[in-house]
Amino acid sequence: MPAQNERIASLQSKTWSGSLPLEIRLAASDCRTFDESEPYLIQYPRLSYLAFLLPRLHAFFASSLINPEVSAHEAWLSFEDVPLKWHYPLGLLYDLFSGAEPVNLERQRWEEQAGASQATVETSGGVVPIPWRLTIHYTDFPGDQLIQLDADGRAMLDSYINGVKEADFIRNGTARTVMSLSKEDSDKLWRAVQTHDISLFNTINNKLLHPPGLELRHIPIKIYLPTSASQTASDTILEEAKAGHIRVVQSLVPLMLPSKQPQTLGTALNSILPTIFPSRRNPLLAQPVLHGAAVPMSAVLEELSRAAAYTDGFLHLAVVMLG
Amino acid sequence: MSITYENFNEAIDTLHARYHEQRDVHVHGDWLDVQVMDRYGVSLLRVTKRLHAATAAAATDEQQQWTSTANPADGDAGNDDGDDDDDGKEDVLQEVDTEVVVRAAAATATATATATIQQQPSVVTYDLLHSPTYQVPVLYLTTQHQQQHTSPPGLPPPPPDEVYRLLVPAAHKPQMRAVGVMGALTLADHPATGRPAYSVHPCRTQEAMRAVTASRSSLWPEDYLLLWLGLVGAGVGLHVPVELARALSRS
Repeated sequence: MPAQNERIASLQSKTWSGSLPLEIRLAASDCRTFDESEPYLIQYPRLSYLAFLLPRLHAFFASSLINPEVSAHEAWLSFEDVPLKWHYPLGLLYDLFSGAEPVNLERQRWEEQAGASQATVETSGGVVPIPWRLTIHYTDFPGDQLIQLDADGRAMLDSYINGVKEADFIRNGTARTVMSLSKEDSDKLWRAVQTHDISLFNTINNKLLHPPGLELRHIPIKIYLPTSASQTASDTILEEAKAGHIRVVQSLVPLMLPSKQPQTLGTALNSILPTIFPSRRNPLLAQPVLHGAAVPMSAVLEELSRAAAYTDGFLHLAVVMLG
Repeated sequence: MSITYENFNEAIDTLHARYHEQRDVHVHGDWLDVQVMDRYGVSLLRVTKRLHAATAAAATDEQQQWTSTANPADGDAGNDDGDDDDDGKEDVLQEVDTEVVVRAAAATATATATATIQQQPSVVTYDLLHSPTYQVPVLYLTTQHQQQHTSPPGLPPPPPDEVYRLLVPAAHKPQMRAVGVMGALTLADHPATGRPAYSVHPCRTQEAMRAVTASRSSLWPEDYLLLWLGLVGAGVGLHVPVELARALSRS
């Protein structure tokens, strides 16, 4: 249906326009001056990666650094003492760690109908965007929690490409489409991610979404649960859980149900995490959050994927417990 | 050829059981322990292995570098230490005892090399998990010091060159470095701990397993695991002890 495709394209465009205000400060232990140095302010795309900011951050903070010899790529970022993983896009990090209440339109509508006061309606979504305050460090790299970057951006590229390959494999049962992209095309794809260029991205990504002779089988999706949400009695303690540990859940999610009905977000979550999502229709215990919004359980997964996937092809869903 | 999560679990449970039945046999071997662990409903097999061979290998490397030096009085044979050490070097050249050469080499080596030997990890942990995407086992490895091997590993992963030197048998090195059939070691988040660990990327494992199992229509899970360990594990120093392989195999 052309109208539906237009709607999805428009949604994709909105997803790509999504951005967050960041306020980045230099860690006191890395700062020459007694007073806090000036913070670095930027409005940054949700779909992008923080690593791309490092050269700019280094230039900005250079005059305040205790050790001026340190390289841009030796830095690491944290939010309230939690080191931020480089290969998680900004939007995912924000959904997982910021504590911001996700926008929930269904709930808002319900509360409006129920005649709730304006104050209650406001609290069910859309916290006034305060800049997300992060800290940049140039020493004490937490090598047991973060993968160290390199000067050429190789680590970021490798991790991105692995994600794209995996998404391709999930979709078609083979990664040959991405593996057979020309050097020119894979360079364009990475450049599109680095420069946040949706049209350049789509020219290559559409080849991945419509490989000749291959059928779409599964939807690439990763579900992120903060540890407190998912501890069960049967777990044996593997390692000391660090603050901010996130459990990543993956499962092969088919495009359609056995009944030939399209897979929805609700049916997928109910099948993968039945204790957290006991209902296929209603989020009783937890909300699935994507780009700062609680996604309706009735969303058709294939369409959601085309509209709101991140640049590696995955839907990176954060689970936020209710109540 | 792939393996389901259920069959993977069966295979690792069996390996775990056989290992512990044979515990006495393995007491002097490289395998220190085998555990099956459950993390948030995801199972994994953890093999803890001794790395004693690494120190000897490092020492041999040092010695070879040493004896290939044309003139020991020439302070610059890859060695930043000053003239102070020259006398020590000449004395050592006379010695036949490998131990003394090793010790002297360690003492006169560059600061980096010395630090590396002192911080040499003595234990490596191999975690086998099941990949939901690729439906094959995946291997994650981390290294730690002996005294820490029963407590949470807190060391960052060593740099790639270190890992190759510590783990990868000489025969496999060229293959591992090039992105061959099995792919090289890459750093990734360990699915259960969330911490960085080295991993052999699973995307080609399925193809490789298919090639190896071409003549068979189906395999017992335990035999699949043994084949996989031979293909993937061997390239990173994880060899199944012969007695264990015999006890595990069903074919």
